[in-house]
Amino acid sequence: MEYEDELLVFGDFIKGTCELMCPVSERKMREREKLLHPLERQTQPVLPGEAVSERSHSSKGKIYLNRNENYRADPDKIVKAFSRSAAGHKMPSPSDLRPFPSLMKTVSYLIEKVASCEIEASAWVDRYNFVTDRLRAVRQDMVIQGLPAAECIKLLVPMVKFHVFAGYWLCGKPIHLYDPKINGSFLTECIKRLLVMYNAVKGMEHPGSKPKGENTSTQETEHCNNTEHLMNALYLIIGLGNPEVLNQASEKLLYLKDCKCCVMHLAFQISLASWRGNYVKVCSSMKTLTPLLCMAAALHLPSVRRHALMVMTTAYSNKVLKFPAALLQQHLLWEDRHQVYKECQHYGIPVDKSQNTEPSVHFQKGTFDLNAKQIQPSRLFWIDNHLSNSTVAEILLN
Amino acid sequence: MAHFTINQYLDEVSNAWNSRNNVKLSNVLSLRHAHALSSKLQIPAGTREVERLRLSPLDEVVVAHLRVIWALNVPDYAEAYRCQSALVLTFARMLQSCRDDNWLLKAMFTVCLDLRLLAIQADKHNSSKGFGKSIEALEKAAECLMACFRVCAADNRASNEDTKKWGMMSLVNQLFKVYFGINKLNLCKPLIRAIDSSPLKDRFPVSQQVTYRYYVGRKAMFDSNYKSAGDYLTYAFERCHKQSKRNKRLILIYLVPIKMILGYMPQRNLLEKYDLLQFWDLVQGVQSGDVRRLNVAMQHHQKFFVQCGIYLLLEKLKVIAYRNLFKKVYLLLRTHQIPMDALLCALRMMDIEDIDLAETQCIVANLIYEGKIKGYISHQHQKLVVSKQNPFPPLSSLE
Repeated sequence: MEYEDELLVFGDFIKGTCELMCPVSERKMREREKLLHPLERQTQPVLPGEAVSERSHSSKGKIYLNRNENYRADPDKIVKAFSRSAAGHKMPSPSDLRPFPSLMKTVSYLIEKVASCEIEASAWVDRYNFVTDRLRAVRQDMVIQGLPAAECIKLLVPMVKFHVFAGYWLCGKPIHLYDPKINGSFLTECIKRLLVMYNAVKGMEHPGSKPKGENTSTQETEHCNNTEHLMNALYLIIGLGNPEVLNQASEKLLYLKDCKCCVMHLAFQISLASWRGNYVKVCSSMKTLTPLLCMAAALHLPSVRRHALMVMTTAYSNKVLKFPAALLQQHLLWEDRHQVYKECQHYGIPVDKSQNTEPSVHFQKGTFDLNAKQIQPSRLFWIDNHLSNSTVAEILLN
Repeated sequence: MAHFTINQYLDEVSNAWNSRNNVKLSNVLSLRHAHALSSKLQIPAGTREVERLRLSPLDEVVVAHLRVIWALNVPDYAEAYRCQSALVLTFARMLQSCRDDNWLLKAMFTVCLDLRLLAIQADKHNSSKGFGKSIEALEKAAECLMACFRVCAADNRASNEDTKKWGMMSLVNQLFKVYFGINKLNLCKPLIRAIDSSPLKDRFPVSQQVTYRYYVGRKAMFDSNYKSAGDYLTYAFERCHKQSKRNKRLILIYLVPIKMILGYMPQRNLLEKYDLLQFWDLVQGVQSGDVRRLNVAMQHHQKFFVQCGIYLLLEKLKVIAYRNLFKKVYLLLRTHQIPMDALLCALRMMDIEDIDLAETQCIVANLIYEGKIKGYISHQHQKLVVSKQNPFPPLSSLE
């Protein structure tokens, strides 16, 4: 059964009435139980040496709290936290659920005022954890109330972009601070749900179905279409070279023939190139992508490079001949010579750094270490150059 | 039989049950049998009449069956589907309680097949309401089929003749059809493992083996295991009954491109016989290294190829076309040291415009890596140096 259909069948969804980002009852409970996130508390003079982060709060929390009896939430900052629905939990009452306008307000607040601030600070990871949790609660409210697809789309698009950005921005952080697997699973959850919602909206445009959400003007559908292509392109890039994703996309592209310049075509071509092992094309086309797509693609660079080096070890294998490191760096998008050396040596490929000749790499069959673990992805200067607090806000919100 | 009264029908049922006649039992529970059309059986609830039979646990199954017949006549596909799933689950329980016995398998095949067909109908009906493609019923049907599968697979005690394990392959085939329909190929893996590890593996009826290998072959194809995909599909094609022309055609749709990747080109008359001439342009393009022709052909029949799910596979054919093109350049230049420029020039002649030396090298590098060209690239001299012996080994000789 498709989503909209489900809504018809199971018709009676509970409707929330909470107009705030956080229900009153939850705010009171969390004030009482001292469960406020530092980003939600009323601003007070921060004591020297006390960074605003959840960890420092939990370790020194008690002393801190005793000194400040005034433990209050800032009503403009507190956001409903995620809590797992489980046996023993009561069905939430309407006053605990936020209808679409409040949810939209919440998402905008989280992205604009929390996620796109202080991105350079090391404590951004705390903001990430905060936003991730609160967005999850938004999705929960969204599902419980069975919101119409068009509204779900508006909520999900910024979430997808946020997780793409975070996946890129935090890559290479130690695992106890940030786990790429978990971010990846949130991202897949959001984008898959989003694509289902796009399908549901299409179903509504189908003649003969009941007109729902009549106020969607043509302008809006046009806008929605562009974002839809972008999101499909993102899905392709996230699953770069994945045959299943490519197969699904090839079907969609059949009906997109007139939109040749569309990002989805470009994304499809890049993913296809990756599937064929054409590392040169993958890397050269990557640079033409928009920042958001680039961020998703950057996470695949280690696997693209690994494959490239593996192929080249065989294809350029010769006892005498060498391959210039500079060219390798250029083709596979390394940022400096040392990264080239490091990664080549990691896979067991000899590097010639002697000063009187041009630095080069020596490919020889059998030297590639198949057991060497793939290198972690890292950030790229030419993407980072585009990113500041304000541009991130723009990328995430528009 | 199309005018069965309820009493006649129930007599048939008890007859089949008491005489342990598997064909008859399968017939009286089938939705594709004549009795399903009888207007006298189309009653919303036949519980009381059935209770007279005192054939527990079969009575529950029969009640559900009658309800399905009624719902199909209304027609209420959702209800029919719901009752058929209940029927299958009850049947699975009944099957489990019949220890050391497998005469119910035939009837099980019937009710399971009916369930899958009903699920497709229910989904189709849902989709026609205009909410896009719906697959929910089919997804749920897989769960019921799995219930039966578990009963069969877990029957370890019984002897070889009596074991319910004989039901495994038919159920696996049904499940394959569902999983391919809902695009969840990863779920096929445990099923394949279950059959592979079974001692009965090669002793199932040929018809089931053909279906089984058709799907396992397609799965292998998606996993890029072309060699084993070729083997499975070849078996399916060769053993498929010669009158099942439609099935043979379906097998060929996948077998032809896979064989081409492995280096075997189909004959034109074969393609003609099975109405698959869409492939002929591809064959000629690949054979002569005419990448342009291949691209045109792919574009021209794009819809057909995409709908069959082989568009990506054809992208692999391009690699072979490149190999053949490069081989031509090699033969023309009559040298073992082929300038990269010459290869690039050949690619540009094929209307591939946005390509440079770096990408040409990359394509050649992949070909060498895959063993399709023997030799190495000298970056310094911008040359492809090919082996003196057998520089372009026949594709069929590769791993």
